[in-house]
Amino acid sequence: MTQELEKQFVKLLDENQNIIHKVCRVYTNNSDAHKDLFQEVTIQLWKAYPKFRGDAKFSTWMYRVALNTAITLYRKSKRQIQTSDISDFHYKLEYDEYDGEIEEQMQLLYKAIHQLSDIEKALILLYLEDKPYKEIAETMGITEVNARVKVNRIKTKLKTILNP
Amino acid sequence: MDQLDKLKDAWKSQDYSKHKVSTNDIYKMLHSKSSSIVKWIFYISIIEFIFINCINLFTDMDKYLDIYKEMGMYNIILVSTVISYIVILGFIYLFYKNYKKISADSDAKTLMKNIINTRKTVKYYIYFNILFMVLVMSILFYFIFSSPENIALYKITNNFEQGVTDNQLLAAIIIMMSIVIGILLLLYRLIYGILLRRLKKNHKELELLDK
Repeated sequence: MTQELEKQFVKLLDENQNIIHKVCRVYTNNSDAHKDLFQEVTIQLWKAYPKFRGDAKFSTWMYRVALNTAITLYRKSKRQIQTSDISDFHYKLEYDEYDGEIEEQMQLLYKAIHQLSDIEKALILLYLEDKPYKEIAETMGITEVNARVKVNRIKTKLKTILNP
Repeated sequence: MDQLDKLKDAWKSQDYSKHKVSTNDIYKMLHSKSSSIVKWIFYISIIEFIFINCINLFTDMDKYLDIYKEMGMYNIILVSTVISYIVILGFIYLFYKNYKKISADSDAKTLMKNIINTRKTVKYYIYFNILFMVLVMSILFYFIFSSPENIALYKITNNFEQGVTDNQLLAAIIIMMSIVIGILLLLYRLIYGILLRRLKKNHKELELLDK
């Protein structure tokens, strides 16, 4: 039974692991910390998995656990280096269909996001993932109106950082 | 379409295939140890719980029980012990109840609130113990200081010279008790502060958002 559950869980996680990588990239800035957080998110997802009833999408549930781990549960490892330059080196991503300009803007966007608070990072990540405000509000435990107001404020803040 | 909306498409199509974790590694991760703050809170709470009870058991009860009996204060010790045990049981129940509420798939605010509440249970337990210790000690010392025989007996038991005046003895006791309580509180605030600093900051930010 446990083996079956494990197999089912690993399959779902494997299909959705991009979500964890995105959360890790927003909350960490070097590859060691990224791996540490990835592992902790995986452990927390597995621990909570027996309670996952399937009334929400697995990916929605995953965002919630992953963000909770990054914001609240994860204890930052001492080896984490607080520089953002390293992140750009380690996480050169592939945007096949985009030109260099977009890639440059994405790097800048990540740099800007790294300047936000933990809560702001979560809100903007969910916004960029195109999650509806209702879901953003439910994930964070705030009202929909306040989620909308706060996301708009963070967007303005990001735009100011991106276009100084 | 604004700048961020344009970047949404690029954001969503980020490709992490280069960093993909193999299913084998995922299996390994499932069986590795968590470094979650909740685990630390649990262990630290248990250590605090054992530590504070060790102070009660070894310092007050065992060593001084016979002397207190001789001074005619057995009932005070008995009543305070019974109260201590009732509080311990109540604390274990509340701690377990709050701890079980902590779930990684709650919404962010509820999760933070539940962790803070679990810690608060321990905090109140520690504060209760310190206050209770002060109260019981005050009653005991009131009885000791109301009888010259008891004062003499207390001086002998605690290696005070008989020439020490009552006021000097009282001052020494108050200073010693204050130092012990001060160190306890300082250590406690330090552990509590380090563990929950980030969590409390985030919880406050979320609460402010909803005001």
